[in-house]
Amino acid sequence: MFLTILRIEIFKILKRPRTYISFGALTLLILLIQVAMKANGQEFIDLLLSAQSESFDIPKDKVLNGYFVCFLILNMLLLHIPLLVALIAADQVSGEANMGTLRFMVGRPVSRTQIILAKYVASVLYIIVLLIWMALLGLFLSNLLFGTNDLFIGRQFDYFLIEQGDVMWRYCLAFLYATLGLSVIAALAIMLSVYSENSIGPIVATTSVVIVCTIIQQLTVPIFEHTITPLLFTTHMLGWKGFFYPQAFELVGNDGSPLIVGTIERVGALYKSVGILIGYIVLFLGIAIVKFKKKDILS
Amino acid sequence: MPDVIKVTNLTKTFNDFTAVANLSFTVSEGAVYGFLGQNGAGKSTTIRMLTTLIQPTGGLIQIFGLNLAQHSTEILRNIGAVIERPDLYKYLTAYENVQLFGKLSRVHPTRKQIMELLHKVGLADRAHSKMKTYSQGMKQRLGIATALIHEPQLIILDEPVNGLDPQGIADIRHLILHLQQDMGKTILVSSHLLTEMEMIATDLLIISKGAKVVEGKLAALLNPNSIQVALTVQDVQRTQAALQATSWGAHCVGVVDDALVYTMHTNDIPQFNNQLVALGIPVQGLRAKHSLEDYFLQLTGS
Repeated sequence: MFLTILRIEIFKILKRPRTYISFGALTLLILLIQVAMKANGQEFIDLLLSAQSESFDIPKDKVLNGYFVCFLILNMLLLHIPLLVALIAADQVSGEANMGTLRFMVGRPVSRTQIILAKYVASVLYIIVLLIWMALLGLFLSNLLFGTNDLFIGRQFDYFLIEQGDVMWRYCLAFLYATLGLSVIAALAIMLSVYSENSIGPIVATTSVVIVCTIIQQLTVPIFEHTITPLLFTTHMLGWKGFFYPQAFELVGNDGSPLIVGTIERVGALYKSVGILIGYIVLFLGIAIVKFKKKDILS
Repeated sequence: MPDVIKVTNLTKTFNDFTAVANLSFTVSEGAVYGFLGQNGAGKSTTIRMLTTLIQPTGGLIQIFGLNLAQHSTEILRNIGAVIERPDLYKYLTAYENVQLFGKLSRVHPTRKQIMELLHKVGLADRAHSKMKTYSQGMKQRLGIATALIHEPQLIILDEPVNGLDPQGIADIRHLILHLQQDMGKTILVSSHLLTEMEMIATDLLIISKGAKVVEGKLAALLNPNSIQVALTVQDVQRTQAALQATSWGAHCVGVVDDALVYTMHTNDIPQFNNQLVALGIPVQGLRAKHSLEDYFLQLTGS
């Protein structure tokens, strides 16, 4: 029965015009970045690397390529995609309550737990398709437009130049990780959705939680840095960047030290982040299921 | 006839407010069970509890002989319900809505079955139009189609004629009678329209403030042996005194809305009229209060 409900949920998502708003917005944003980089990419890179150029000998002519543009796109958009996810996931229960369809659905011989799980899995599938679309445009179209070369990754005090043959698997894992991170947003949105009978409230609430957590995480003050920040899901959602930090042969600085192909600098931290993100999903979905099972459908 | 629904001491409270209080009733197989009550009487709350949308605070609901709290999935497979407005998916067509709710009810209807059902409710020619383009009457009929797709034994319709024009009301009435008489379904239907209920119901439950006022067969409740007749005259007191001296005096109920009310058998009305003529009382109006509406208003004190 779960698969039947899941197919129905996917069918409903596909039939709703709002589903395609996210794809339209994402396409527009990626194309805008690509047009901007095509027109003024080199100037942008010169400006971006002006500080590091004084200390390091960076091959600026190699930096602008498809892999770099994709990295730029991920940096710019992965913080905003939660809003697009909230648009769909936060509407899953509350939107149906608002339309009145929830009472027709719950009055059928289906378990409420399965309804919530099906709605969640459908939201995750939506996220996967959204990220595949993002990968097609952000990675493959960028590679077509800008060609491929080694990937330049800059950090505060060092930089890496990852060999182009060592890049693609990192992107695959990064997109996979992003799916997990955004799945936390979907679980949060569905949990909030259960408490409401109109979709605006949970959409605003979800985005507000993400914004507040992001602000706390960016406030690099000890009171937050060593207490709340390590526990915030938004902190761990940024873990995808870890796939682009390879191990170097020498531990002192990475500038110039040869990188070990196929490695990740801090694998343990990534595992920990994955565990925390899964923990959040279980927590949010658990609350959603318990609440929904007891909920009187009055809409 | 076996009982399809048996409700015992059903109670639902929302914080301090008691929406349904110790309500008990029984619906027999094959009945069109009319569920009457004023706005806020607790009809919709009761229906939502019968369809598991709301959890009762107390009491027992048995449907098809099973406890609803323990066998909800099994029971809901055999119930088709339209609760309040027929709010289905506006962005889907009638065909898609029926198909979707069929699957949710654990059947996988064929195209032929869906089209036959849509034909039955008069929507076959608009099967592939999105629901948002439908009139209220069409939405109501589509709601009923989604309730019938899995061929349930029990059909629950909450205010099915709300917002419909006279033709729409007649269509739903004929559909309900067809479902009961030709297909042997048991139907629980709530409505404000008492004249409609009088035309279709075999049994009746009237509730007020969440509690049962009366339950029984419609024919028995509207007993012709004891109907009320309202007599309108110019001089109420003189007429009452004149009739008091006759055998009719014992039948006087009192004065209601400036009319003298007497109880009698339907067949006795001509005799009563003759008595008035014999006493030389100029009659302005003589009306038998025999309708469900009169009965309902009398019971609920409206």
